[in-house]
Amino acid sequence: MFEPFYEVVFNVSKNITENKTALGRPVIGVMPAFFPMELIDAAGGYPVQLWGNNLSLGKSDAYLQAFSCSVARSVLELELIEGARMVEGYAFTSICDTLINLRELYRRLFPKPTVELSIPITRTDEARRIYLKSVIASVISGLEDITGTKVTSESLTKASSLHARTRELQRQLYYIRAEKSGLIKNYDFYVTIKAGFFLPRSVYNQMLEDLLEKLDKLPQPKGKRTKIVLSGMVFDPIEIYKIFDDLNIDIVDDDFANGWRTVSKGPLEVADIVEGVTSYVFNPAPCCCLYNPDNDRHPYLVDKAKKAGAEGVLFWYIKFCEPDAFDRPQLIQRLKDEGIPASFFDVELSMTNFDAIKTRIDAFSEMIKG
Amino acid sequence: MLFAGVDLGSTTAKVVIMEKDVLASILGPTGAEHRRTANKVMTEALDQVGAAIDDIEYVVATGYGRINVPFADKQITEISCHARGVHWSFPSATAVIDIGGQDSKGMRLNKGKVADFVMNDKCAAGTGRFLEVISEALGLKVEDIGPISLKSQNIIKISNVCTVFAEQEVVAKLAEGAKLEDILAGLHDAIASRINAMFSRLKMQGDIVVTGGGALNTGLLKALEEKFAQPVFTPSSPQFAGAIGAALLASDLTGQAAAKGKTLKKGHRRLEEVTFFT
Repeated sequence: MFEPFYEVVFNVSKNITENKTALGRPVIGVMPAFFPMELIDAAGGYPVQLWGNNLSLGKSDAYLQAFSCSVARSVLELELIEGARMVEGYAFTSICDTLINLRELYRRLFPKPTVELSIPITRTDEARRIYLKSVIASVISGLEDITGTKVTSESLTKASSLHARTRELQRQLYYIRAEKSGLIKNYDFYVTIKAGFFLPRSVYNQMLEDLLEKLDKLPQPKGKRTKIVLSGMVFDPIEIYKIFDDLNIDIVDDDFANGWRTVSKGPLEVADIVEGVTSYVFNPAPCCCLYNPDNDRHPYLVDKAKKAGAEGVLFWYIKFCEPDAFDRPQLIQRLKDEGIPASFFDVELSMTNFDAIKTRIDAFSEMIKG
Repeated sequence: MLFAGVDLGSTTAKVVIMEKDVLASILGPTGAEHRRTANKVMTEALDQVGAAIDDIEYVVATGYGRINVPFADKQITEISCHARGVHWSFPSATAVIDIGGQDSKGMRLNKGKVADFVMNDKCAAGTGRFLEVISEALGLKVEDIGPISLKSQNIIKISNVCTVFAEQEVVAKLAEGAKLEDILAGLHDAIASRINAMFSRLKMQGDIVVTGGGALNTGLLKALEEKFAQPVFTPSSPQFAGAIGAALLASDLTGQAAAKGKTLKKGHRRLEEVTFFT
């Protein structure tokens, strides 16, 4: 059932290149996180999400310190070794200091054009609106320059519908996973979500529809399994899911920036694009990278764990994501205060030995089982 | 019924065979060939008891090499095993600090069960390896550095917690004329500070028990007592706490299964010599 998704995830360059040729659209690399890819599709581009890779880091060390975000370092490495030749431009979101600086590095180092969605921090509606209006105009203009195609209200509406359908289908997959715990292996689940980073929406949507149809007919497997929720920015290295599968642990929900935090987003409202983008970025799930005191992560995560029937929450920390690291201690404490066991492990995208992580996951599982 | 616990750690392999009490305990270097090591220490333990492998009712393996114990019936992490082992010898213990060869772990216990834990598995500082490196640099046996450090009247602060840089700093302090016991006391203080900082996340209260090879170092125990501002306890054989816990869990699981009228599924009992080297 999942082979088509595996084929994409383990042959990324080949698939992107083939799709680019078939679509006749320029590939725009989308940096983390929450950039409304509808704008790229509406401008005639082919958005591909870059959430890091497992390259050994070498050349990027000349530009980013070893203690900075490994996602940023790995995508920079990819460009420096010319591994992203098929990408013709980049779309950034100003969600953290590292990514803001990464865009500046790209502007200085590479000839490829970039656009940046600068997210306003101000809470004053009018100031936010004036600021975002100019930002979005600049982003759209930049995308039009890359693709040579003008964004129209028709193309925006069509793109919004296409991407909304993707997230709707992904949510259905999340619901099946939660309702029929154990039916979808954790590894298969995240391979399926990850494939969506690289495929054109129309292709991915069809693959998801076919998969959901098959899954819908299958019953929930019998047997007691441990249920947990994961939280973090990026759900890689994907090999770790094999550990959960081996230990009969079901991830019944997640709070990943490239998982539920994105999948949960509703359609991008295009009638008023400024309000639409604001709502898209900030809602519905809170994020460590977004200042939004109206949407507190503490009760959100407690509620998520309880609704999922999770026996514990594990924090999946990608080194060295500062916003995620700052939030983690308080979140863990809040969960523990609510009687929900919580722990964390830290990973690097290029790691290949998972023995210590296996012990942590195994010990956490033993702890919650008593 | 006989039960066995095998703790295949990064530095040493430990086996205990228990009935109601420990009947045999064997310790040997882990080396590169985990399966061979496990077989060797188990064979020696069986010889000590005068039993065959099939006489053992259930075998639990633990430690970082736990998946490489060919005759184990079940694998359980060292976190759970140390907690069980400590609860057996110190029922009042509410916290465990395990200082192993290549990592250190802290566990908060609630009625003998793990309520929370932390691990340091990224850095040699705070582990037995740190002490080995420093003792090698000083030309000392690792078992001697604890007693020597207890003679210190003037602890010298070691600012580096990185093993490589600490080694350089120790050599430099010696060259400056600092006393060996003061340097060693400083090293133990540095390790204890690191362990204390890491374990403060667990909000440990009550009796603290130290296990693992690090618990054999009297200088480190003194430094830990100072950092935690309370006495710390050690089992009589702290290196065997994990293996004892594994054997006790083997007994617990067997008892729980029997109470339900079930028998546990056993693994293949193989004790033949295996080697990766030709």
